[in-house]
Formats: sequence, C-alpha cells, structure tokens
Amino acid sequence: MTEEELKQIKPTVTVDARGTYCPGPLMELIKEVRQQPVGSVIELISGDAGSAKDVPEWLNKVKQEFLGVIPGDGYWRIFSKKVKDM
Amino acid sequence: MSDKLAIIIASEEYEKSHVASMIASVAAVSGVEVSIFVTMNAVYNYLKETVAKKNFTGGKLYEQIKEKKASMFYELFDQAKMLGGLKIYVCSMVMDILKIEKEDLIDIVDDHLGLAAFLGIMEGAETITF
Repeated sequence: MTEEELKQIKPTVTVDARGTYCPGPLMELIKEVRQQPVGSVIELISGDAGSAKDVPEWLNKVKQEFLGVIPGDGYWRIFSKKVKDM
Repeated sequence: MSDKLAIIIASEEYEKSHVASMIASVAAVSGVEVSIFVTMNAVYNYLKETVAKKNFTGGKLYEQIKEKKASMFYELFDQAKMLGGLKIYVCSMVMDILKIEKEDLIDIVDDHLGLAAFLGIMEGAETITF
C-alpha cells in the first residue's frame, strides 16, 4: 500500500509501543494480533528503528499480512492485518 | 532457521543473558521451540537473590539498560513464555555444587536438567552459546 492509502486506513486497534526497546514493539504487536479477530487491522507505533524491518519479517514468517509503514518524526506507524487465526 | 533452537548460557555477563532473551523471544513467537540451558557462572543471574538486588555482573550496556529502564532479561523471558514455546533449564551439576534448590531460582526457570537430557533436547536443534 502507498503512504497515502495507509493514511486513509482506520485501524481496528492502535498499539503505541513508543518507549519500549527491541523486541518490545514486536512483542506488543504479537499480543494484539493474538487477541484481535481475523480481519482486524493493527497499527503499531514504534520508536525503534528496527521495528520497520522486523515487523514485516515476522508477519511473513507467521503468514499474516503486512500493509505498510508510514515514517514519522522519530517513530514509525506500521500497519498489519490479521488474515488467519494464530 | 530450523523449528528448534537451543541456547546455552554459561557466562555471568548480564548482556549475554539479555541478548539470549531477545533472540529467544522473537524465535518463540515465530513458532520456534526454544530451550535454554543455564549453566556455570550464568546460574548466579537466575537466583532470586541476585534478581531482587539486581546484583548482576555487567558492562557498559548493562548500565544503559538499567538507566533507560529497558526490560530486563528475565522480563523478556517471562513475556516470551506467555506468548510462545520456551523452556528454561538450569544445570543440575551447578545447583549441586552451589547447594541451591529450585526454590532459590527465579520462577521463569522450568526445571533443572543434566547434560544427557539437554543433549537430547539439542538433537536436531540449532544451537547458540553465550
């Protein structure tokens, strides 16, 4: 998805993990992916530069969908979609 | 990466347990079955007494982790255990030498094991040693 498209998205839930260090943001996302029903869009806000690379890698590994990243000022908004139960 | 990961932690250096807990966390939540074997001087870091007093042996990064109030290794392990398949074993030989019991160890420790048992767990697993 393009940044413009991502900005239009209304996430089911937003997880603000700023202030936690690697792998904190990823772990926060995982907790949310587990809890939300299939079809949910989850926005993760992370202040850790690694997350923008880590999250897509993890989503790919567990076969969930990565929608894209919007870089902010010192943080990243990372969008993912739960496409199957886990 | 294979679906089994074995991590041996032998050093008392705080940072080694920390990086082990980070790798173990991400592996465990990615469907990898993780087994940790804590042995030699590393065992001191898994004693309730050491954790309560934060009496760890660490270097410059340990000081920063404390200062920035980042999660400690035992918190990362605990979280990983809730989210994925992770077991932590302490070397029974070290427990014997130090005269410590399971109750002296922090709660994230599942059991104590001898080497033959851990070698069995390591079979077919990728292994990392710290």
